[in-house]
Amino acid sequence: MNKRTLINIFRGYQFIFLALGFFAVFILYPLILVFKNSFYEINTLSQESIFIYFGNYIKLFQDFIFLRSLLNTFTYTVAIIILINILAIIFAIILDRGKIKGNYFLRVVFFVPAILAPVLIGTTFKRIFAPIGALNLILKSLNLGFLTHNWLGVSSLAMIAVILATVWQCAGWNMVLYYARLKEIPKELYEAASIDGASEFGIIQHIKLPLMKDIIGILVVINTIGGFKVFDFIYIMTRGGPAHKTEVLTSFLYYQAFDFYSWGYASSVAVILFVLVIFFTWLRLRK
Amino acid sequence: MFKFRTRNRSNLFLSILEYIIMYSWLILVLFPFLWILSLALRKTEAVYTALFFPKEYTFENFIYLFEGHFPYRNIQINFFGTMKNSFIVTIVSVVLIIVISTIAAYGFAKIRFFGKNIAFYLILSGIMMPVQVIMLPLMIITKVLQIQNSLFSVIFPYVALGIPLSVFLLTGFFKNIPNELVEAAKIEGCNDWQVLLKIILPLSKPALSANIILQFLFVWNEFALALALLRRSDLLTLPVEISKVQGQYMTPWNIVSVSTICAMLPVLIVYMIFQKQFVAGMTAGALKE
Repeated sequence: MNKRTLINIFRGYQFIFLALGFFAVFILYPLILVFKNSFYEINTLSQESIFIYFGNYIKLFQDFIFLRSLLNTFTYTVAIIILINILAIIFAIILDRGKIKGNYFLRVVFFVPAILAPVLIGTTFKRIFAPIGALNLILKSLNLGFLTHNWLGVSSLAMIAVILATVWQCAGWNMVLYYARLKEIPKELYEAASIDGASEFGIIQHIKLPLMKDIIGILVVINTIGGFKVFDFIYIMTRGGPAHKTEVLTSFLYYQAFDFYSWGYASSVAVILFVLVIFFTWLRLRK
Repeated sequence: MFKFRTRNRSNLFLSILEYIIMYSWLILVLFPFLWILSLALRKTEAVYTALFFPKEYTFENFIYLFEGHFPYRNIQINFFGTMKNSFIVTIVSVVLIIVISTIAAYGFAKIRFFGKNIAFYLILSGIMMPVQVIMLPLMIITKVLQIQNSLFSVIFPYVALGIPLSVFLLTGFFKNIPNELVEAAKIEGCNDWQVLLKIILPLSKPALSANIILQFLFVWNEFALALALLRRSDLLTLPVEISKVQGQYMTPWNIVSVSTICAMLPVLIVYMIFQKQFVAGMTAGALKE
């Protein structure tokens, strides 16, 4: 290596070494450690660790609660993707047509939930879905008392409640991105189409949706990764209950680590979560 | 003639439908805020009685929250202590993220050196990292570094988690600044650091402000990692404190609501002032491919 390359290396690395350092110590090294730990049985209370090869992974796929939380994670993710994006596309198209009053105001207000902490939203929705919460009070005042439920306490309903809270938060954010894309489409296209006799729905179906395809793809992947990472809503609203019906990967990991003190087992969950997220990130970057 | 009329009628039908869709979602968006606001303005006895309009309203919950002590069951909430922690964590983390990633982005965008692409993609791989994946090792690392009992136990991980996206966005922006400007400054006698400070930074205000907002929201709202790493009650940040306040079912809703509302206020106020930058910032990460 000659002197000039060395100077060049110094010239470059004086700028990036801090970023690299933080990345190495607080992301890369933990990642390596979590892979390593997933092959050990670690009890944090007794400080023992035993190398057990793939023992944790084998145990995972025999663990009914883990399989349940994997299934719940997928259910949750698919549901939020469909609901969020359908709502967001409809809102964005209506805003873009610009035929209703209060366009700017609606956009600003719809975006508000996106900036708030999921913890605060979960806290609020817990009070809406509680036995004497807002939803039941409304149902009673409409004389629909027979529809009242303990929404978060009934296994078939708790997941729906969590999904609704998530959709409430994310629809506005997706809407803004779709709206930004629609604004880029030249208006002449619509005019030409309507001169040719295309109806409103024809324009949406044949011009708007095809031109939004790429951004729909991006947002679906972003929502997928967001769905896999969900923790705050679950922890606040249901803690994975009732009877693990809302347990997801992250909450399962958390309980294994802090309620059962089995860090090796929790680490193998972390590895699976990491692999899932990396796979979908790769799908996104591949485009 | 007939065709003209059907077209008109279907247009009318369409706009009515549009109004119904948009304004029902508006009601749905506003409803949770009004509901917890009305809870926060009630006495404890009235919390479970009526939907929106109990017999009397009171501001006492806000006063109790300021004092940190609710007479009902002697509940103590160190709200302003946690808010101070949140401010410290957020400000220190965001400043570190922005400074470190701006410097790194200059290296990646304007200098050619050995191993640059590998380093760049390595850092980018952190963009989508779920905090739960690295949470347990971070608890060990913060212990080894002797920062487990300080706010730095979350600040450093936040900085590391914020850097990748920030580097990615700023590098993209810096690359679009013409190299001729950099070279002209070099001929005038500037070194790399002076170029960064005097040429690049003044041109990068929109990218920086978008980035600051993105990172501010990430750090301010983060919960999972803070819950795992902050074990001392005087070090909690707002989201963790709000989750602790609720216990399971013990704390009355008016107390939960008043602290939730006060925790929302800082972000809402900043949003009202910097609306455009918020939308630009929060959508920047998704669209820049």
